[in-house]
Amino acid sequence: MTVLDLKGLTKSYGSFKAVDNISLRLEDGEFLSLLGPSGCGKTTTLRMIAGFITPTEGTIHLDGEEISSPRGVVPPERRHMSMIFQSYAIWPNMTVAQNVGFGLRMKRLPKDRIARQVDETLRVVQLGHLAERYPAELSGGQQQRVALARAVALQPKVMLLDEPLSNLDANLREEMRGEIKRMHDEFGITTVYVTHDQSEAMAISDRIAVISAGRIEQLDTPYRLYSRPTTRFAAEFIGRTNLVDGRRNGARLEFDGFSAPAPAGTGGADGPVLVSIRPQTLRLVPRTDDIAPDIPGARVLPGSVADRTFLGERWDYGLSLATGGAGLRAAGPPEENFETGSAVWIAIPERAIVLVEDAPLMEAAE
Amino acid sequence: MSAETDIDTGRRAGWRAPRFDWTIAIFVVLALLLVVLVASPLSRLVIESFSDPKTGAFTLQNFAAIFGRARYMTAYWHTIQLAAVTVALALFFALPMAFAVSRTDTPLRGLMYFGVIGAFIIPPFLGAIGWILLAGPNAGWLNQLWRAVTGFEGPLLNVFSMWGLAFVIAINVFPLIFIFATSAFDLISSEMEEAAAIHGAGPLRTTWLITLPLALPAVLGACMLVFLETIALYGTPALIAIPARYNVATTQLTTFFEYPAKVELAMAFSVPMVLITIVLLVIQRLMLRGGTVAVSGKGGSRQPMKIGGWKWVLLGHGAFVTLLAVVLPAGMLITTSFSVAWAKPPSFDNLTLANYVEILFEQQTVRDAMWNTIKVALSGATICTAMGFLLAYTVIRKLVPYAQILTFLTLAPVAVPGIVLAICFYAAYAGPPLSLYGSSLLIVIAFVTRFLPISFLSCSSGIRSLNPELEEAVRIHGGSRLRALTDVVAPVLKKSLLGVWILVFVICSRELSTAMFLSSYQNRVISILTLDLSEQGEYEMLAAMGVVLLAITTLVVVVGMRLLGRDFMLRRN
Repeated sequence: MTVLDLKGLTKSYGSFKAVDNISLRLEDGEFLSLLGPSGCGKTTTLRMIAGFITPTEGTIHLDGEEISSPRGVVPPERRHMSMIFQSYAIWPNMTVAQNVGFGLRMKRLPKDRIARQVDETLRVVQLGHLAERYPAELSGGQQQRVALARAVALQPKVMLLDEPLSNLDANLREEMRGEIKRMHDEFGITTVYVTHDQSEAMAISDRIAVISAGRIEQLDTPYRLYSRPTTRFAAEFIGRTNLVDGRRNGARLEFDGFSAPAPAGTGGADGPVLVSIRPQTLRLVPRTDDIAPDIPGARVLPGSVADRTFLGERWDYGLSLATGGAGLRAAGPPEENFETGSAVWIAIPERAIVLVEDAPLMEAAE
Repeated sequence: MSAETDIDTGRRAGWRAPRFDWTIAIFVVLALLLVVLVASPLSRLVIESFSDPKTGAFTLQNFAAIFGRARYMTAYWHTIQLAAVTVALALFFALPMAFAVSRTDTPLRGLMYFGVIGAFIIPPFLGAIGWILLAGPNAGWLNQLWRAVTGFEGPLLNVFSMWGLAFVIAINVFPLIFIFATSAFDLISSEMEEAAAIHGAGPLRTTWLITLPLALPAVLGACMLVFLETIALYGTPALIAIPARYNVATTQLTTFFEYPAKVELAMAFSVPMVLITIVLLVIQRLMLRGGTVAVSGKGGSRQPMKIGGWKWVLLGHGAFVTLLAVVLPAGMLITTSFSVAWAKPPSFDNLTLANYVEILFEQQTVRDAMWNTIKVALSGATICTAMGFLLAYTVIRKLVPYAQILTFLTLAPVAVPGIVLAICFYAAYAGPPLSLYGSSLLIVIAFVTRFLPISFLSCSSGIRSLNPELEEAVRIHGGSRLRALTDVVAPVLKKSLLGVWILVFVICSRELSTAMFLSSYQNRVISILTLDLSEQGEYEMLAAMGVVLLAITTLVVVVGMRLLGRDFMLRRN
């Protein structure tokens, strides 16, 4: 059983807070991603977990034992963790087998046991035939597998990955992503994965912590993160979306040019709100007269196509509303072709309107 | 490929409007210069060693004479022994310092840089004089101190021994290993070490299993350079090995020039030295090529390793080396330069400015030598930089066909120890028809030949880093190639050119072995004069002269560091 617990973790450099009060808890075998733009503090957090950086405030506990605090840190070599680095950091002076067996050697296991475990691990990552090669003779993908094998061979309590796919080309990236997932499922190692690529994080993680400016914006499963973002940053960072400002007025949300019933189960005071409407939820219908088509459960607004880009799998439309206000972006199937400037009806399903920031309930009202 | 295009365009232009193709002229001029500077002197090595001195006929007799005498063989053996010990000592001095500076959080790393640059600035013969005054068996200061403190009769240290000699050389050449080792350490991404840490290796094991093995090829390469440097060195052995009656190859070489001079034997004796040099240089090349650089991925940031209590050990070591390499010998020279008699204790009676007055205003020989040194160093540095730049540009931009011939000729002197080069120049130009013996010109051209490779290699890396499109832009907008060179290439590279100039100036100002056999009383340089004064036991005057030389060199280097950054002297090539 491994439980990794970060409490109020903070790292300041002078007045700049690289990591600002991060708390999260990983359960045994969980795969958690730290997702955010570069410079958001995700790598600093990872390096604090590894013990390379001492936190300014807060603690890290592994299985109830304190391993990091401002008072001191257990050095990396005694944390029973492993890590895959951005540069892989495969030691070029050692063979593949020596690289993979390094951690076992450090544990002073008997030679034959090391050999057996290395063989087995290399077989799992399909590198058995390259055991005696030197890293310089391997391709990028093979080196990546060596790094992966080296990290799992130890059977560490926690495995840390620092943007391990950022140096691979697109095809290999997908393959390696699958490989990492497979390793995780096979060995059940508690894993922390740092990335700036949201699709990578979505595909691989049990939970994702979206981080911005050193703080956790939202910590959720990939599905909930996509369908129910709770902050403007999270909504913008995970997939493309339309963020629309509006007002809550009782049980209705009012926007420029239209209004909709507030989603069930939400209820704030009257005041400004922010909603997210994913482009692919919008439907476009040709507009020839003033009679709006009746589409059940949807608001239908007059508009026109301002610009469009063909992306192969879909059309990407920029729409302007006849009633004015900010435009919307919509995604349409390739076979439905609207010329630039053509008049359209824009159908917004009410269910697609996701409340991101509700008007705060006034304390006095309660 | 670009050579073909260049030549092609050149030809087409020529066909339309017939014009003088000056690239050929450049090639001819450069090639002729290199023949004079390199090919003609170096060919003497082969010619003379295989010729009968009287008849000029082919003979193996010279080699028979060399290999048949035990004394000569002992000299070779001593040289190899000395070089091996020197390498070991230099490694001991340099490697911990390089590791401390490049990889750890050891405090006062600036001090270590000071030690390294200081050791680099002090010419080997001055360091040797300093240590003779410190550790001479009878009057050496450290030995006097030892006797006074312990009451023992015998000396603590004796610089006049193989170990003393190796120590004095090592304390002077260790910067070479330091430079190679730090640049190798600097290339290792700290992720390599962090990976070892997170997989369970502590700092000591990480260093032993990861850091050192990764730097090993570069360090071994540097060891070979130190080995070569030692076998080629003349000044320090002349000062220490001769009194110690420890005959090495270079001191043996000078005996061939005692009357009657036997140049053919000197040449034959030099051939094995050149062969060893070539073999080691080739091995060193191969090792650096096979060197293990970070395999892939981004470099990653580099963080100094936290090494706990070890940092005090490393700091102590660095301070000790700095003391031995810079503080003690330089301090000794300065004290001596202000003394009436150096072996006497420092007191007001013993304090004087007379030595400086003498060398600066009275002794004609010293003033001549200093003036001559400055002349030689200035012209040597200027010619070297200009030629190196032109050659590098011509070769890299492939302005002429067969550019690799120019490269080969330019770099050939690397394989020849300075003292052997001096013999070659002696054979080629000292006698008729040119009869240059005794003129400063002879020393200047010998220095240019010897240091051209340094200038050529630095200029090459500068030009290689320059996008050719910069020059193509000049030409498409109507400028000639010459204009591209003067208005774009040279100004952009002015910092590295200045760096080359300063470096060659400093080396020229202290070069001794290449000036051997080429100096008469008319064209002595300071380094040669040092040997003469040391023989006469004039240590006070010599020290004053050394301090002046050190002051000038330090000034030049400080100016260089101000203009070009701290590391300009310490680059690998």
